Amino acid sequence: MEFNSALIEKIKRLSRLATDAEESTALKKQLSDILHFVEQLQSVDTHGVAPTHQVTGLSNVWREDEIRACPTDIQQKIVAQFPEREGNLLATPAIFGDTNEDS
Amino acid sequence: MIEQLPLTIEETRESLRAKKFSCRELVDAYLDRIEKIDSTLNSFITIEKENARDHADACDEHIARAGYPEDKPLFGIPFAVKDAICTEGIRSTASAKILDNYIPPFDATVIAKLKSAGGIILGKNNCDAFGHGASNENSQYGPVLNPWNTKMVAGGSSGGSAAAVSANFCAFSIAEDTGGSIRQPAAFCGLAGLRPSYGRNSRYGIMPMASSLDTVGPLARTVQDVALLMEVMAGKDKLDGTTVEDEVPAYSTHISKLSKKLRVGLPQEYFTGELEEEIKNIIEKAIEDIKNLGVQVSEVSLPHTKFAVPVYYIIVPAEDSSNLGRMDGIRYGVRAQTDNLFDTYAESRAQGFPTEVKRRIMIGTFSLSSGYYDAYYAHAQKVRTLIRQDFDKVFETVDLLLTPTTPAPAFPLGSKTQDPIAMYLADVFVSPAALAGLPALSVSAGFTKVGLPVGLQIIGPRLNELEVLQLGYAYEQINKWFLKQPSL
Repeated sequence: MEFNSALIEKIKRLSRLATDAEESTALKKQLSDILHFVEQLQSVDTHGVAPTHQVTGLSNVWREDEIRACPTDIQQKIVAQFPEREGNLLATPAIFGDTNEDS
Repeated sequence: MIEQLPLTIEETRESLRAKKFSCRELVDAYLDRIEKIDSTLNSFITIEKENARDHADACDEHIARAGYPEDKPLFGIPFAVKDAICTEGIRSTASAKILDNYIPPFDATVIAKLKSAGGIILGKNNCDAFGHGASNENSQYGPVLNPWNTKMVAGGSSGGSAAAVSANFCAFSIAEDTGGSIRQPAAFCGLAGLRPSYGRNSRYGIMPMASSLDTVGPLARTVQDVALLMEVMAGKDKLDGTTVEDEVPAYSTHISKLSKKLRVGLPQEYFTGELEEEIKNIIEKAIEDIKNLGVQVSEVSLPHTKFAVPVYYIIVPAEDSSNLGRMDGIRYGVRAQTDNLFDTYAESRAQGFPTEVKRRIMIGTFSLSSGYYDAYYAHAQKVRTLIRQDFDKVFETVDLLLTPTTPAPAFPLGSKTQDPIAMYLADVFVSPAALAGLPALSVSAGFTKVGLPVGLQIIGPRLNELEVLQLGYAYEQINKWFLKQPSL
């Protein structure tokens, strides 16, 4: 499997990443090399082998869904992290009318 | 004035107890040393001078009033934290520009525990951005140099933590290990570093990389210190559903009680191929030392070892790409100014991530995407099962495994940056235990002819940190390599 230009563009879009032409060219080779490297796994017979999703053996760790008040000073610290704001509201670029979005 | 900085936590405690120096004098001595030397090594991104001094003064007042508090095992001990771990009120960048201005409103659970044990935070250590790397050259705050030879890398991803402890800028550093990020820099810098079993220490507040592998653990000068720190940090946390209920042993109390019947295996796959001759000789000498402790040593086999790095580089980028989705410049961090939402995401991420982070996100996005999931991600998860089964099988016949931590000592700066796969292979001996969720310790095993440190790795069955630490401690007492200091 090769990372050709079309695949790079598709994955960049899915990844929400901008790269310039020079970086895209370098990535095309590097990502193809990485794919070739990991493709050695295709030689491993995994017939009948269950996948490992996690290693703890724990399942369904529950807790009460409690409403806990967020102290005002913590609220202020969180709001202070907003890159842009109006008062205590988080400001973002407009969500609708974006023509560059994936279908 | 402190003429000689202490080397271990116990030594520091004794000195504070005996009033050889005050907490403030200790903090000032570390800060002076950082100021004088760290411009060469670049191990810190943020230094908390004022807060550390205030905290030290408060500790001194407490000691003057009520004596040294014996119930606080880290009282007045200055330490550092990898920058990918959240610290309340202290900038936490993960070494990526997208978080250049991020100040967490909370502490990671392990940090809260270390603070309540009396520890003083000196600052935040440089690392590979989001923990991606084996050399600390993927930091957007510059690489970290190795205190033993500044032409060499300090290792990664926790290179700043390792360099800082090795250079005696702090008593210990808290870092995270997803595929070797504590053990490999510990080996490169001549330290003790433990990757705990997955689920032993809370991951709450650790910036997530690969959620099914991430662990948080200590880098310190001695195994004894590592044991003490694990005692403070380990245990169930209701804020991390993957932590286990299993009782946390009193590691530091039991550390010297090495079982006389211990059986240790040498996985043959770790002693061939890429292992450099000089490292092999040093590790074989360490194995002889361990045999002389009365431990039974035998050869064993972990046949799927060679597949660990390729499995790692499918599973980790996949989980990475998902976890890093939150780094979008919207709610916190640095936002690029563009005129539409898509470009805001794409430009914030383009500017805020170094190239390795982009590679991982793209490989991960690819392997999770429609049409490729089964052939890459799902298949890698099955090979991961085979790697785990290899370990399960050998632990039926031996109690612990001994391996070199790395196939070669610290490599020259810039020697692998253009070749991602060569960089990935630096983790060839540390990624298998990570995929299996096992505890693994790197302990200093001596030095090469040119004076670069070499690490011995001890791997144990899940949740058996105690025997791993006991063997590490028994070995450490033979040569006491930790007494040797880099000349800076």
